[in-house]
Amino acid sequence: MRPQLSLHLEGGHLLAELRSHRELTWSAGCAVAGADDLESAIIEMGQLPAVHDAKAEIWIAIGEPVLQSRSLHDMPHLSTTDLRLLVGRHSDRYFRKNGVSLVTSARWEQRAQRLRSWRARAVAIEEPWVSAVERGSERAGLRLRSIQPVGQPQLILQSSQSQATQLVRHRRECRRLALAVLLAWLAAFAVLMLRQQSDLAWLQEEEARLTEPARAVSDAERRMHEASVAIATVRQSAQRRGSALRTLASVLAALPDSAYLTTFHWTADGAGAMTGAAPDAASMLASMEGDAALEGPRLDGAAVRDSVNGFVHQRFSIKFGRARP
Amino acid sequence: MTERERRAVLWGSIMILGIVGLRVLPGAMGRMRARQASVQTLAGVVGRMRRDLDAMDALTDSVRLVRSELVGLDSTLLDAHTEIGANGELSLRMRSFADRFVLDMQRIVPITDTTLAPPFRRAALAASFECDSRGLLRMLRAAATEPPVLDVTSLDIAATDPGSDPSLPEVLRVEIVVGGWYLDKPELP
Repeated sequence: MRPQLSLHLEGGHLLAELRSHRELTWSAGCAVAGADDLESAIIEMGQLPAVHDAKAEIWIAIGEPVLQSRSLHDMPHLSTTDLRLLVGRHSDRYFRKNGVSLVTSARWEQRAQRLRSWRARAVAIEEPWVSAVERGSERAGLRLRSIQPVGQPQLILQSSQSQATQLVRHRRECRRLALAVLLAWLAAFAVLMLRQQSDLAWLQEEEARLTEPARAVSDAERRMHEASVAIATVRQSAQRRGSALRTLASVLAALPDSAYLTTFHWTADGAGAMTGAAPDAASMLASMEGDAALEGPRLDGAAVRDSVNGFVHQRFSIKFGRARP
Repeated sequence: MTERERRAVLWGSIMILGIVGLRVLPGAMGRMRARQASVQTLAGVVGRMRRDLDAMDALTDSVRLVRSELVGLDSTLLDAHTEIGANGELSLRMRSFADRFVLDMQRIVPITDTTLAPPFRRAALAASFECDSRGLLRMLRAAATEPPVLDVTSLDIAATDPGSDPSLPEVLRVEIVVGGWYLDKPELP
């Protein structure tokens, strides 16, 4: 927070106080007869080391007789801005002019507004006084924060030239800000594009560099996988060998004395069929059912009694393995 | 600058900004989005490639293991590298069985077997012969135990005269399909 040089002009006397962090560090007073005196006083203050080194900001309150203050009754209901314009346009109606232009300001008085009696407070200062303050501040190298009427801190007084200058400055600052924002966005966009481009180029280079080794690795992995599958397949085949022998041995073991087979058919999926003759086909089938090598043995049709060489047999047809749909 | 010139500059600027805002900028944004998508896709591809390359050591170990397993399978494979060679080897084995176990070999026919497990292929043949039950069982036992691995996939047996006088010699007519694996490509991965 910058130090504050508060000037109070009232009754032809100027009181100056320099405050730093709200503490009074310097004060002085002098008589002021005219606008030129005020300008000179401000320039002199600005040359004082205590004020100049601190780069203080000027706040000035101007009272009577320089300030003219009026209470205006029965004013049309306007916005505050329009009220100020109205007072400014008709300043000669409300204030003494003495042949010089006036700097005016106005505001609605709240209490009166609530009572629906539109009363405004209007103030005016001859422009040479305001110009003297603005010129003095500029020549002293100090920043002018505000010119206020004494007792009306909500009203700000500003010369038309200062207003115009401020408006121009404000517009210039807005343009500069807009341009800076636009340039910042464009710069960000350009940086992003460049970064994307460089990323893409680097990735393409990296892809080109890694493609061959990665393809070789991928190819090796595929061949590895195929080889593993092949090894497993051959091993399964090796484990399956002997199935035909085991099945045939089981069937032969289940055959009782004087029984014989006429045909035997077997395939690698464990299914098959046999025909033959036995004294008791049912008991032979029962003995086959307990054998793990034969899956689901079952009679295919009824056993037929027959007599061969004086022996009575039952001709049978047996299937085994999973029944085909 | 006169008021007229100032207005011309202002409207010119508005036009240029309008064109930039409505035509150039959306196009540039679209290109940027497309490029971003390309960058992301490529980054994914490169990341995958790097992961693959990082797994090289593990792959080398696996290759060594598979190589030793392939070498270990050598005794189970037919000693051939072509289909004709494998059929010849199978045929030779069957004739050897016929000699050893007194099988009256009548027919040996190679069968086209399309079973494939690269780098291995399968060869098969169908054989018909006559023998007794003892010879058949010995032949099946030899096929099931002796190297290389011979895989019987089909077996049909028919007794020529069942129930005849037990003193007469037993004659069984056998049709068998036998297969085996061989290494189609001699080089290892």
